[in-house]
Amino acid sequence: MDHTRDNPLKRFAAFWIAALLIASFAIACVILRPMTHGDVTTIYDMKAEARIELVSEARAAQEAALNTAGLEKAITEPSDNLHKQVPTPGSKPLVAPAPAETPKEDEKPAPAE
Amino acid sequence: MAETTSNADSLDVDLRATIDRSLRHPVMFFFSSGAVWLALSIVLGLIASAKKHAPDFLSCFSFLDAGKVDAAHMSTLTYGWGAQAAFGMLIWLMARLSRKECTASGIILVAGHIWNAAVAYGVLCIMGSGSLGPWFESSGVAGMEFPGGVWVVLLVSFIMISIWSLIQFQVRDAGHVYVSQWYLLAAMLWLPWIMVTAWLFVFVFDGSPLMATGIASWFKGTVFALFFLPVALASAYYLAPKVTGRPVYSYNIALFGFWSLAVIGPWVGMQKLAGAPIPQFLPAAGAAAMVMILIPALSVGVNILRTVQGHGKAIALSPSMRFTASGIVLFVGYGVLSFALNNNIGLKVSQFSYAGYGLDILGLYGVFSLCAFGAIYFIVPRITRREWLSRRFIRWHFYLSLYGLASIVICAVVGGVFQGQGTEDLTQPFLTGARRAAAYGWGITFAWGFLLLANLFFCLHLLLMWARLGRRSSHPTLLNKHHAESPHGPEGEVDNYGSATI
Repeated sequence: MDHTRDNPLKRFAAFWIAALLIASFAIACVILRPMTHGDVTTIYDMKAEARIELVSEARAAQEAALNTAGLEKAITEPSDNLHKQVPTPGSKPLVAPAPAETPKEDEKPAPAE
Repeated sequence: MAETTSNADSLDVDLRATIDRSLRHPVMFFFSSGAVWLALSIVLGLIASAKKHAPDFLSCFSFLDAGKVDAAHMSTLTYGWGAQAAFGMLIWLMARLSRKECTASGIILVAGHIWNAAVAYGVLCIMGSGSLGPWFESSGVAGMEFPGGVWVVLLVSFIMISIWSLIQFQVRDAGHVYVSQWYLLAAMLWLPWIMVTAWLFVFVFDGSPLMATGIASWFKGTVFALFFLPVALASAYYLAPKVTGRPVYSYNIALFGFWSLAVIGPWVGMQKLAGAPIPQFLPAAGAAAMVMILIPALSVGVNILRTVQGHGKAIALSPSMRFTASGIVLFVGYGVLSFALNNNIGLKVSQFSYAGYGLDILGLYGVFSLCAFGAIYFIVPRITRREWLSRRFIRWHFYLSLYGLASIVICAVVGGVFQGQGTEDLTQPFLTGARRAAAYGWGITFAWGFLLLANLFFCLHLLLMWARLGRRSSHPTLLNKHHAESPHGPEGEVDNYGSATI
């Protein structure tokens, strides 16, 4: 049996080699990440610029196409006319007929004996 | 000459007794707490399965919502039972094969308690999300539901448990490196690699949430392929020659099986995201790797089964060999099923159905757990110096496990295929898929009941052994009433420890 392989120094070294090996996985991830990390933010930013431009154009076009004065006139004129109207004397508002009353349970006539 | 040989044998027995004694407490702790987690996991699996076909079942308890209980079931099965059983096997096998006693059993035991506390906290977070307060919130990442901090604690605990085995391997006596040691060494290095990588990319680095989901899926796949599978195969490669008294059938096939797993294993997992808006080569590579798992499955299957060929009696009598051989046969079955369910046609019907779940359970319970049970039936009498109390308990454990597992896998795969077809049929309402699978869901729920019964026998038996209430006998507990010769080698290895005291 070969005992020279097992000594405290060898065990100590093995401990730290194993610990470093495991730590190296994390270190490798941190180093590799910038290389493998997709430019998600940049792509979003690039797309965002184009989208903001498109939205601004659309809003401006809608603004230009919208005739605010004409729209206001179209709303206020009929409302003013309605406001000016007065009820005609002698006319009676239409009233819906009252629903027919149904007898309640306890008001039903007692059955003949 | 004969006297020298006898002296060497005696020294060897003493060395083995010393190794077993040095690892008694941590190994028994891992196996026993793992068995309790397994029972809990099966109860959660039963509830999760029932909720799939009867959504109102236990709906009055918010902590038992379908999403929570499903995640808690898989987490307890993987990290409560699976990981701890694997730790017990790993530290014992590496110590025995390196022929070095453990000098850090106290640290391992403390790390084991930390691991258990972290898993318990993680499960509380999953089940108490939204109701127990801000300290109990699940991460919500499928496959890595524990909060981010829990993964760090689990990783540190694992390092505290396994680093001593790495040292034992490094300072082992010069000589042959066994096949089991390749797998154990690989498992000890692969798990930290995948844990560190997954944790950093899911919880620390600021990336796309979709890729985080993909990475969590990769983590879930590789934990099985690169940790549970190697530990199970290490145990099989140890027990098959040990019990039959024959060398491994072919070292070249063993080498091929190991390297094929090492090359294919790291690619599995992403197939779960097929169709998601991520680079399509990732799920395609995952599916291809799952298909190719058949290669190591066949290599290992042929090698182990050829090793035990002609020793049917050993398989019939020895509980460890019976469980291990079943686990290896199921590994071949896992490879075939994985091939069928992850190709272009199969993935469509398995991705969002019961079928994928059936494959996961076949891997974790069928392959890994059966090999782990085999190892536990072998290891526990050696470290407690007591024999198993009841061959009936072992037999019931075996048959109920096999019956329950077969029922779950058949119901999940057949029901899952119908469910997947229903989901794929765009002329039918979506509910059609669920309706087609409902009856199979009932089958799965009942099957979990059988597994619960099986594992109650196992858990009780193991706890009795932990309490040192096993038989004080030199006859191993075999699965027949009268045995003239033991397949475990010379009769009474347990008692041959002689004067070695606890």
